[in-house]
Amino acid sequence: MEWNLSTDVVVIGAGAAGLAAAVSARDHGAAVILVEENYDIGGHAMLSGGRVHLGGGNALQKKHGIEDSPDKLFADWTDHKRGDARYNDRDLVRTHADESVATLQFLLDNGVTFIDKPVTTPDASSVPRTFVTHEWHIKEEIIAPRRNRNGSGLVRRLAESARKKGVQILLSHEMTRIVRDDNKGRVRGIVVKANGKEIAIEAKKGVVICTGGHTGNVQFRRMFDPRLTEEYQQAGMPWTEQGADGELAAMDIGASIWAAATQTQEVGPAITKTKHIGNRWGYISLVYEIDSPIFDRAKATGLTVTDWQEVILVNQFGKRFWNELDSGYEFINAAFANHGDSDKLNGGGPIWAIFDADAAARQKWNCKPPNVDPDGWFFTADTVFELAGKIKNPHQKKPMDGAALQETVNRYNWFVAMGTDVDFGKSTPLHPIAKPPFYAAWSTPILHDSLTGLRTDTNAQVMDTRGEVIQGLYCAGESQGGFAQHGLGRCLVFGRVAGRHAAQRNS
Amino acid sequence: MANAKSLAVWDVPMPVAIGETFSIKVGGEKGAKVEVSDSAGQVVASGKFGSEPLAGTEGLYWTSLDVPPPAKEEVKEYTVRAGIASSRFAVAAAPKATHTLTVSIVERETKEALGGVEIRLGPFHARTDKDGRASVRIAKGNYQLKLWRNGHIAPNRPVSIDGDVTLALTMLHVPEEHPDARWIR
Repeated sequence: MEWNLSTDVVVIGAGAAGLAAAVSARDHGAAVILVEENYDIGGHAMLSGGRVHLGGGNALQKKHGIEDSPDKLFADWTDHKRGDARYNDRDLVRTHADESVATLQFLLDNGVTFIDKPVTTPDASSVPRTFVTHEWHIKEEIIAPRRNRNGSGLVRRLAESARKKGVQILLSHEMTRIVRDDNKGRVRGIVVKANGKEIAIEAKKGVVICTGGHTGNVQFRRMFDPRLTEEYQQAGMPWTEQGADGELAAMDIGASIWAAATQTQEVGPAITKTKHIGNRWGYISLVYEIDSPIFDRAKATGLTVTDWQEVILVNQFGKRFWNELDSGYEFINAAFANHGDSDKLNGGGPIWAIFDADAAARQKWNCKPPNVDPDGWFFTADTVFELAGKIKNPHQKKPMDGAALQETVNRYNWFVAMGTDVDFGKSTPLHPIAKPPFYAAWSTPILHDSLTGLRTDTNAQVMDTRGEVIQGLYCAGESQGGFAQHGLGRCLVFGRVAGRHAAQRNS
Repeated sequence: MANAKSLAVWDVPMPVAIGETFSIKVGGEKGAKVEVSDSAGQVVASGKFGSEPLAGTEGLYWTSLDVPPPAKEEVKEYTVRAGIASSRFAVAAAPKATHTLTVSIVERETKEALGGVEIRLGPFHARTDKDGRASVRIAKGNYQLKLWRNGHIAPNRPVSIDGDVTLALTMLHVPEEHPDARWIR
C-alpha cells in the first residue's frame, strides 16, 4: 500500500467523540490527522443542546453539592428496572463510570465552558449529572442560531484546542475504506476521497471510528427494526446524515455489532413525534431559521405545533390512526404500523397533519415559505377533498383518496360536536376542521439516537464476531455499541479513552 | 379552485339552539346550486354559490344558508350537495342559552392569568382572553366543566347552572418534558 499521508492516529469524524479522541491522542504524544466529510467540524454534536451527561462526582457536581460516585453511576446505568440501562454492556458502563470525572476535567482543561447550573435528565440517572455547555459566541459559526444549540460551544472549543495542539483537521474528506493487513492482521490506515481524488492515510498506531451512528442508513437501521423504512425523518439532517459509514467499513474487515437490544428499548428520544411540521426536517428541538448557513438545504423553518388539538394526523390513506395528543412510543408504534399498504408491508408510510384556516390563526402560523416547504412537504387547498389530491411526495406512493380524507374530517368534526373521540380517545376534541383553506403538513416521525453499533472492549478497541480485538481499530460515539445513553456523555468518554489507548500503542 | 367533487362547510355554530334557525357558510364551484338535507333526506335549505371567492382561497365561491334547527337535544348530521359533490356537517343542538357563565383562570402557583384556555361544558364553549377571562351564554343544567390548555392540567369539575354564575379557576402548569433534559427549578 502506498500512503499519501502518514501519521500516528487517524480519527474519522469531527463530532464530539472524534474531537475528544483527537485531542486525547495528541495529549498522549501522538501525531493526529482528523478527517471529516462535512465542510465544517461538529457532526451531530454541533446541533445538540450541549447537554453533557457525565457524573461520578465530578468538579461541577461537587460545586453544586451533588453527591455522586462512579459506583452510583454504574449502578444507575445497569439498573435492571430501566429500559435504558438493563441492556447495556456492563463492562463499558464500568469504564464510563470510572472515566467520567476525568472526562469532565478534560473538557474544562480544553476550554469548554458550562452554564453554572445542572439539569435533570429523564433517564437512568438518579442524581443530576448533566451540565450544559455555553453556546458558541460567533454567530456566523452556529448552524441553528437562536435555538439553544449549545453543543456548538462544545465542538468549537474542542476543535480550537485540537488545532492549537497540532491536530491536522482535513475537512471535506470522506472515508471510503479502512485498510487492514491480510489474515486478520492489524489496521494500517484508511482511504479517503477529497475533491474527487483518493488519498491513502497511514495510521501507525491506530484508526478511531467516530462517524456518528447509523440512523441515516435505511438498510443498516432496518437490521434492528425492519419498520424503519425510508420515509422517516432524521434528527440532525440536513447537517449530518449518520450514514453508518464507519460501521460498514469496519464490518467489511470483520467487525461485530454489539448489544443490538439497546436500539429498540423504547425509552427516551431515540424516535420522536415531530414538532415542526410542513418541512422536510422537524426534530423537536431543532429549527433552521433563514439565517442558518444551511437554510438552502433545510428550505423551511416549519410550523411549530404548540397544541396537537389543532390538527389531526392521518396516514397515507387519509385516515387517522391514533390520538394526536399522545407522543410516546404507543403513538410511534401506531405510526409505524401497516395501515393497509399491500405493496409495502414494513413502515407506516407518510403521516400528514391536516388543519384549517382557524387552526392556523390560533397557532399564529403563516402558512407560506419560508415557514413551509411546498416542494413536497406542505400543501394547501380550498377543500379537504382537493387537499388530498394535491399531496405529492416521494414517500406518498399512491394518491391520497379525497373522499377518504373528507370522510375522516367529517367524522372528526362529528366527534367535536359530540365532545368525544370515539375512535382514538382524544381528550375532548375541540376544533372542527372546517374553515378554508385547508392544509396538509409533513409530520412523519423522526429517528434520533443510534443506540447500538460496533463492538468494542473497554479500551474502545473494535472487536470481531469471534470476540477478538481488531488491532489498531477503535470506535467511539454513536457508532459504538453497548451503551444506550442518549447524548454526549458516552461519546466524550469513549472518544477520550480511544484516543489515549491508540496513542499509547506501539507503532 | 374548488372542483366538481369539492365542498367546504364552515362557521357552523356550536351549539345551535333548539328551535332557532342557524346559519352556515358553504363553498364550492362558482354559481353552482347547493342543497342541505337532513338525516331523512329532506332538503332543508338551498342556495347558489356567489361570484366572489372567499378571501385566502384559490377560488372557493360561497354563500350563507339558513338551516332549520333540530327539534331536540342531540348531535345531528346534515348532508350538503352541489352537483356531484357532497359533504356532511354535524351540529350539537342544546336548549336556548339563558344564563351567563363567567370564568377567570390563573396558573395555580404563579397566579398568572391564562389566556387561550378552551372551556367546554357539554356543547357550550369559550376561550379565555389574554387576561384569562371568558364568558359563555349557557342553558340551565348540570355540566362537567372541562379546561384545555397545552402544558396545563385541571380536573374536570361539575357545574350547575341555574342563573348567572361566576367562577375563579386554576390550572397547574406541567412543563413539557424536553427529550434531552429539563432545567432544575
